[in-house]
Amino acid sequence: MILHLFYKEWLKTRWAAFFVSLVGLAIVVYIFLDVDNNVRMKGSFNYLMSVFYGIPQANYYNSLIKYVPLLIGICIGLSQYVPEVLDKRIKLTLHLPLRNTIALYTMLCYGFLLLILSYGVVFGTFFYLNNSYFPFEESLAVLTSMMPWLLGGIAAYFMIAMIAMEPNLFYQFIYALVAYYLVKQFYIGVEHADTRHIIPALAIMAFVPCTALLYTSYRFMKGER
Amino acid sequence: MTAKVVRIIMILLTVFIASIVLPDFYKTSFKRNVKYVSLNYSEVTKQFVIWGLKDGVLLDTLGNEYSRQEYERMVPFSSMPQLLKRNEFPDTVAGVPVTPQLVAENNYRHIVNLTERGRYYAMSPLVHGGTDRVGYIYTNDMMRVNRNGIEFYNCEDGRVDKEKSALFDQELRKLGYCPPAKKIYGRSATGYKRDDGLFFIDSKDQLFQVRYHAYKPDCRKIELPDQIKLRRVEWEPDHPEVVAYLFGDNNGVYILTVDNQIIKLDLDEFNYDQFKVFDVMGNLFYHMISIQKDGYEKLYVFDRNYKLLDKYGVHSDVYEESAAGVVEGFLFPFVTSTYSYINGYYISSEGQPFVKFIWLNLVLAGVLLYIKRRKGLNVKNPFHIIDLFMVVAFGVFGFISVLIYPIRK
Repeated sequence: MILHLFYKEWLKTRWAAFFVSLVGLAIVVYIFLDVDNNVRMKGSFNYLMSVFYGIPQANYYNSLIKYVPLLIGICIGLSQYVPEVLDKRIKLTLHLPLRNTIALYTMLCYGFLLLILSYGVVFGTFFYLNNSYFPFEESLAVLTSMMPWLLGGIAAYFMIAMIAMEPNLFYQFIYALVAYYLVKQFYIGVEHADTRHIIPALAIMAFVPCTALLYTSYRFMKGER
Repeated sequence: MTAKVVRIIMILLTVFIASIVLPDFYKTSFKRNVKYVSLNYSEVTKQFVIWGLKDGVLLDTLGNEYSRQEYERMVPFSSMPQLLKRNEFPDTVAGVPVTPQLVAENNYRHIVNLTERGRYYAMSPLVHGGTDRVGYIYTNDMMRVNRNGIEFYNCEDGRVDKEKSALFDQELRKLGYCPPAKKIYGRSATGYKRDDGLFFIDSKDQLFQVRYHAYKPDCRKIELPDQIKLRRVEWEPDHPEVVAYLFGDNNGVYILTVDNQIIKLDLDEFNYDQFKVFDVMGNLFYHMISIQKDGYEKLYVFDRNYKLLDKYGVHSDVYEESAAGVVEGFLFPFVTSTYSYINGYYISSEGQPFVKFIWLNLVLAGVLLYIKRRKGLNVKNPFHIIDLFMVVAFGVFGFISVLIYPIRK
C-alpha cells in the first residue's frame, strides 16, 4: 500500500521535481562557467584570494544558488499538496485501509525523500564541480554557508504540507505568515563560512514543522471549518 | 492526544519566531539613536577628554569645558591634519620638539573586534621573503595544518606540494608541534613592510609562528607565559615594534614584540567574553588601549614601555535605559537576535528582568482565561492549563501563539 501511495505521489510531483532540478542544474552550470572564466583570467590562486579576502557580495560565486533550495521545497510541496486539497482529493487517501497518520506521513516522507533527491542532484553536481576547482577547506566553507539555505527549503516544504491540510482559510493565512517568518531566518546571512555556529539551531527550526501536519490534518479529518 | 502535543511544539516554535519578529518591529518603530560617549587622552593637559556628555562641548575629567578647536589643540597628535590646515600645529608638545613627519610615523591604530563569528578558512597564503625579488612574493599555494601535518596546497594544480610541506613539517616536528591546528591566525601578504608569517595553535594549545624566508622555513615555538591557553592571536601589521596581541583564557592580554618579548598589559577590567571592541592606538608619547562594550568604555594609557600611567572609564546611554528600551522590557519577556553584519551570523536570546514583564504576562493570561471561559471551554483541562502557563512564561509571544493554534475538538 505504501509503495502505491508513493507511486500516486510520484505521478503528481515528477514534472515539478524534474523542472526545478533542471533549473538548479542550469544555475550550477552557469556558476561554474563563471568560476572557470575567472580561474582562466585571474589564475586559481588569485581567484581563491579574492574569494577568501575580497568583498563578500562581489566574490561569493555560490550566492546565485541561494534560493534554489527554497524553490525546490516550494515546488515539490505545492505540486504534492495543492492538487490534494483543491478538490478535497485527500479524503480518498484518508479512506484507504491504512491508519491516517501512516498515510499522511507516507506522503510527507515521499516529499522529503524527493526533496533530498533533488538536493542531491543539484548540490551533488555543485560540490563535484567545486572540488575540482577549489581545495577541501573552501568546499567545507561553502557547505557551511549553504546549510541554512538547504534547511530553509526543508522548512518551507514542511510548512506547505501543514498549511495545505488546514481547512480554514483564515488560519491558512496566519500559518503562511508564520511560515514566511520562519523561512526568512534561514536566508539572512551574507558572509561566507560564518554560519557554522547556528546550524544546529536552524536544523531544529527546520525539522520541528514536520510534526505540524498532524495538527492541521486532524482538524481536516474531523471535517472542521 | 498526538495532535495536542504537536500543537504545543508548534506553539513553542512560533514563540521563538515571534521573539525575533515582534521586538524587531518594535525597535524599527521606536528605537532612536542614543548618545554615545567616547574617550581620548590629551598629551598636553594629561587629562582624559570626554566626547558626548554635553551637547556642543567636550569635557575633561576635572569638569572643564572645551570647544572643538580647543579640543583639537589638546590632542595635537590625533588632530594633526586639522591643526595643519589651520596652521596651528605646534613646534613642541609637552616640551618635546615635534614635526608632522615624526608624529605620522608614530601614530597607529588597530581595532580588534572581539566577537569571533566572522568568516574563517582553515588555510591561508604564506608569502616568501628574501628571494631575488624585492619584498615578499606569493607562491601560489596556501598553507594548512591538518591531521597530516603542515601542508602547502598548490592552487594551480590542486595538489599538495610534498617537498615544501616536508621541509616545514620537519622543522616544526623538531619544535614539537602536534597537528592538526585548532586555528590559523594572521595574514601573510605582500605590500607590508614586514611579514610576520602565520601563527597557529596546535592540538596541544602550543603557539607556533611560521615564516618562509630565502627558500627555507623559519618556524618558532612561542613559549606562553602564566600557563595560559590562547583564545585568540591578533596579528599587528602596522606597528613597528609589535608582532601580535595574544588573548589568554585568563582574560589577560599580552603583547608579542618584534624582539620576542611577551609583555602582559595591565587591563584590570578586561573580560574577553564581555567586551566587544579592543581598540589599540598610539602616538609619539603613549600607547592607549580602549576596551568597549554596550554603554561602557575604558581607556588605559601606557608609556612607550607599556607601563600603565592612567585609566578612566565612562558610561554612556544604552538603548535598554531609553524610554523605548524600558517599555520593551515590560512588553517582551525575552528578545532573540539572529543577525549582526559585523559579528557574523548568530542567534542569541536575551532575557528581560522578571519583575518587568510578569505583569503584562499575568494580564494576558487573565484575558486568555476570560476568552476560554466565554467560549465555554473546560479550563481545567490540562492542555488549557498548559496554555495559561505558556502565556505566563512567554507573555505576548505565548498569547499570540496560543490563539494562532486553537485546541481542536
